Amino acid sequence: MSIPKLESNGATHTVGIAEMTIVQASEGCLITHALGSCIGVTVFDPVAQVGGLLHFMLDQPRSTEHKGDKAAAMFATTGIPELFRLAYAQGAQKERLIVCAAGGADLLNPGGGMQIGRRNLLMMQRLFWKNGVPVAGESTGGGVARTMRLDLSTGTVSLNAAGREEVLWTI
Amino acid sequence: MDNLKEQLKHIEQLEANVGVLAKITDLFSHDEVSSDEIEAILATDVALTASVLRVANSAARGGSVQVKSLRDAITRTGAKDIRRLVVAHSGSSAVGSDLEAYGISRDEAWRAAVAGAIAAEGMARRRGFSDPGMAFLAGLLRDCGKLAMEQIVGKVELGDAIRSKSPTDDEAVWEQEHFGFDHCEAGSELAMLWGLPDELAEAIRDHHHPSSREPQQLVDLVHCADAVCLMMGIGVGLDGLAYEMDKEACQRIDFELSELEMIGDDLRNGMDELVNVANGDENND
Repeated sequence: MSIPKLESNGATHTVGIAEMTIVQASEGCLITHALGSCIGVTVFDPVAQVGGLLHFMLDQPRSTEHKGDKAAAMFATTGIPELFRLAYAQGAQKERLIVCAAGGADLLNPGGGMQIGRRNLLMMQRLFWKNGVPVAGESTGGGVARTMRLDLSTGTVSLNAAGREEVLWTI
Repeated sequence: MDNLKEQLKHIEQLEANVGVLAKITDLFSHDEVSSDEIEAILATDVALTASVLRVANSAARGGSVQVKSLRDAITRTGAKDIRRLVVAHSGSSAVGSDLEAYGISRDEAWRAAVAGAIAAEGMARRRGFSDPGMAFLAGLLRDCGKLAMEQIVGKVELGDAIRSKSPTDDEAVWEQEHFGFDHCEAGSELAMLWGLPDELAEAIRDHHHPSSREPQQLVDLVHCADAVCLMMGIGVGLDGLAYEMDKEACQRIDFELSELEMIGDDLRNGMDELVNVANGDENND
């Protein structure tokens, strides 16, 4: 996987698999690598200068061990609400939030593997639809891994997928 | 095949550290392993000793009282985790290299190796597999043949060829058709040259097509671990997410969706320490 070179005056926070980060900062960036079937969700409030990135693995918990908060960022059903809750706690407001999403790919074989990407995508869309959250930029599905980056100074969300750069959202 | 063996014998880059790997694999094949035996092996490698001491003194291991001797480091870390550390450290030369032709950076190749090792070991433990440590090693080394492919075919030639392949073609099948051997076969031959156990060599050889021969649990475990890594976007190269996940292998080991949660936990708990140990850097705590 090709990793884009980051040039930023502020700090770069790398968000790992099943992790999330919320920051209030006017510079720097949040980045997550290895979005295969996993999905990255960014939120950005340009007024409150609050940005966040969630990298969730699965649509919902299936084992009893994961019903609590211990692994909230692992699942769409727990991670997405938590991302928004933390953003609001930092001063973000729902009507100003710019939300982008990337990932949800699946293995390119005839059976489609376990279709984890598709399951993730459907759950995310359901949650957004149910809660009236519009998505400003989205690059999902297919069979490529994606690296997602949120620039905290501008809110620009960019992707690197199979060596190609793409801007999902910018001012 | 003989030609492949001959060519592999001349790849010096792949030989470093495998002596320790073979020794530690042999040592842990016995029921009882003493600290003396572990210490004797670790003491032969200065970098390895330093890594073990660093891990033992990390905050994650409760390192408020500093450990200075190798013996104390072994006691604090525990035999099982020492084995993981030693295997990771020793195997990094074989699977932690830049795979330019495949479009995989050194860091990503190493992350993929470690993630596959952790996933395979966790699945093995949950199924009561007799030797989860062997699953760890097989997961770690499953793609060691890729570096050999680059050296035998040539980085530029192999890279050009991979770029021309259809995105849906399975990597191993495609390599067989074009070169007469694939990275699984090359990796398996390497494992045998290094003196590693036959079952390990077979797991490396068949991890893309676990139902092509008599089913073996270790092969199924490594196959599923490999697929999970790719699914999660770890170690993805030029050919993207092209991978044939073998349904029969999944059924044989009862691999289901809920297992991905366990693997997610295993990776969150174990990745950083092992990635850093092999890198020999200071970010362990």
